[in-house]
Amino acid sequence: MIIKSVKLKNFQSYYGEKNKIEFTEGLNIIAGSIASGKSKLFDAFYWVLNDKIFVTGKDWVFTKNLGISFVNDKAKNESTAIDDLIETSVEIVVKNNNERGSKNINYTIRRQFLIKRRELGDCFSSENWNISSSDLSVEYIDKVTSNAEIAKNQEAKDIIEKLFPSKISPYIWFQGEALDKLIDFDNKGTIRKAIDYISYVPLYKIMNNIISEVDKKITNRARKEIGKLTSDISKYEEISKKIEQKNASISNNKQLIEEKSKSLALRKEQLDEVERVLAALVEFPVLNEEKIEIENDLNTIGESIQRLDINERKKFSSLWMLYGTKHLFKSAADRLIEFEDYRQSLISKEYELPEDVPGDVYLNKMLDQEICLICDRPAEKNSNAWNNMKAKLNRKLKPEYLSEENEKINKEVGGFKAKLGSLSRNYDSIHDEILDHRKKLNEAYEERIIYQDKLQQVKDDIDKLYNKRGIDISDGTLTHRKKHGEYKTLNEIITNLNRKIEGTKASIRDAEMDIAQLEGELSKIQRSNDSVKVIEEEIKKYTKYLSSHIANIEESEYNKLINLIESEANMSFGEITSVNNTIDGYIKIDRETFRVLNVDNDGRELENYNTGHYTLMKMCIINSIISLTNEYKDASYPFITDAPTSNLDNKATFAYLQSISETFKQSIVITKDIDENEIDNIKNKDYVKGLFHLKIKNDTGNSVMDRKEAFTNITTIKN
Amino acid sequence: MKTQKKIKLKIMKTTNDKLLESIIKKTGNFKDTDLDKTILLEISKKLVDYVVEVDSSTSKEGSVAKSLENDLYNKINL
Repeated sequence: MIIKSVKLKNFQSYYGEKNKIEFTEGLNIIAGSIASGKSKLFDAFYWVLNDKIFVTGKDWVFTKNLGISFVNDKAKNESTAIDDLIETSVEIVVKNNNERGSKNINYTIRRQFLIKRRELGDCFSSENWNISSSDLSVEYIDKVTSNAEIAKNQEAKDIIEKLFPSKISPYIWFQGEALDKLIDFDNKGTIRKAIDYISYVPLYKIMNNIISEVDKKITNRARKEIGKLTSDISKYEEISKKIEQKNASISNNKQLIEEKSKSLALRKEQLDEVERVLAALVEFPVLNEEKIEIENDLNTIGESIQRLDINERKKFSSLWMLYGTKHLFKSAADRLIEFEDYRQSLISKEYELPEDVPGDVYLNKMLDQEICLICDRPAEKNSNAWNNMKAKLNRKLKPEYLSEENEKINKEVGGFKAKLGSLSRNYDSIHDEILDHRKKLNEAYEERIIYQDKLQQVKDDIDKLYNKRGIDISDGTLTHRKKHGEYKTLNEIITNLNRKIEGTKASIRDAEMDIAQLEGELSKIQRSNDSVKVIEEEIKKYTKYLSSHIANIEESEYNKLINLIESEANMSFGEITSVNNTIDGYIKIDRETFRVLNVDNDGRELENYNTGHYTLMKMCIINSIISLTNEYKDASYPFITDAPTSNLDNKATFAYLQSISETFKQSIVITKDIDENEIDNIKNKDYVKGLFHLKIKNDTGNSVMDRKEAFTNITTIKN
Repeated sequence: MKTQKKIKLKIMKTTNDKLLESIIKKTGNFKDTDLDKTILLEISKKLVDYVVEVDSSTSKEGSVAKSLENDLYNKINL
């Protein structure tokens, strides 16, 4: 997507309607001195799309709260009569290359705001003006009908959402000053949201939900069908019913956790806000840091509990299943022993039988010597006696049960029996493993209690501090008290929510353990007919297989993206820092907290890096996210930034500009003023495609710039 | 420009193609199972197709799961 132009009318320092900048693909630089209208231009981009602007010290302010303050002063000053109407508007033309169906369509996005003179008093007083709400419209040519269409209200907002998706827009719009407000890297959700947008992770999630849903239904049905084939139908049904009840309670609890987590996130956001206000006090940050450290430790403990639980639960399910088969294996082993006894008896019987005595060796000897060696009577060759002896030759055929094939089976049976023996020995260790797991979990729970106490202690200290402060501070005491009250209440709510979530999680874990045990019991009940196949059981194999794989893909896709963001960010960080010896190290995204860190070769966090350094790291992460979005989504977004490099020296600034010119199809960088001697040099750089200059001026020739007369003048140097 | 070049060189594929490809690749073309690969591929295709239909609403996921379940009954005959 490309921003082709921006047009401003009476917007802040831009007077009248002849304020238009036509951008080009590649890097566009807009330079200007302090108070020349640079940030106002950035505001214009943001306002036209979002109906709000960032005001230092006030945060984001919507049009309705801005009142007449962002209408050009010169225009207001020129109003002389009641009912005078002043129009403030911003219009951007966007060429969309991203959506297949709407490729190369130009969208003209326009936001307009009208004020009407009510009284002839002070023109800068809002009491003398009537204010209307802002009006948004999007004009475009419909590709199918070739008609010009105008979308308004929600329809217009939907188009803007399609063009600048809200999940990615914080990364497109980047204002140095508002950086921490726009992208809060300390908040886990920030990078997660970006990953959700640029990757297919949410799609895998949907797929996983579908296949897991099918798997759940099929498993229930399979259980019912198998139940009909078992030797003890009523017991099977009874256990199945219990399992279904447990599953239903798990679903309910999971939903409950989701709801509570949502409200927890909201409360945490509120608490963050209150903490930001409270952090102004000197002592608070130290205690707060301690609190964060303890909270992080608590998170780690919580995660290890979860890890223990997941690992052990997986193992448990199979162990319980194995335990459930104990009865089956025992009866199988008994049957095998019976079989072996029977076989042995047959063999013994075989050796007791005398019919085959004498054997062929003796018979051949007797035939050769023509004498019966038993009765010692002669037996002449071909006589009846000799023929009788000869007929006895080869009488002893190998018994069928000793045939080669049967012996092979017998060997396998022996092997199987030995395995059964070793399995039975394992039954004892299962019990030990369960006890061991319980012990580990209990230890982790105890550790958590200790840390929870520590946390409570710090919270109490903070509490005392604010009680003290509430009395000590004369100015703003009320605010502090109020904020402190909010802080306390929010903390209580959060603690309660956390407790509820933990409790619900524990119930889920218990239910899952119960299910594993019940499944074990089910497996003990034998089927009356093993040859009947149950279709649900066959389908279950497929759903189980896919469900587990898709869950794995979802997780690995997420990890892959984090790695990619980090490595791409390090590529641009390396390029930029190569010209500046004071900045070194690598960017690392902490996988647990999602904090952006500067580390040395061994991954140790570097100390004492300055704000400029940190800003640069954040910008590299942003570059990386936008660049990956372009690749993943086959879409490109412009990168619009105000004062990104105010903390960097000239060398690093140009290295940064060159780096973003290589990353983005279009970038618009609003930057500090350029020295007159430097203008030609910058203009001649290949990677600079557009160069514009902003200057505050007036038509009166007065060197003092009065707000009633002054306005921003735009000069195009290159485009 | 680095990114533009990468995009131009890439053969344009739909989201569905990419998802299906990744499932086949990450499962090693269903190598580690003795289940029927044709059926697995068909179920995966169906799943991927459904993703386009389903937005994030849970109710829709439920109904899609129902039709997938029916498909499976028809597909896997004993």
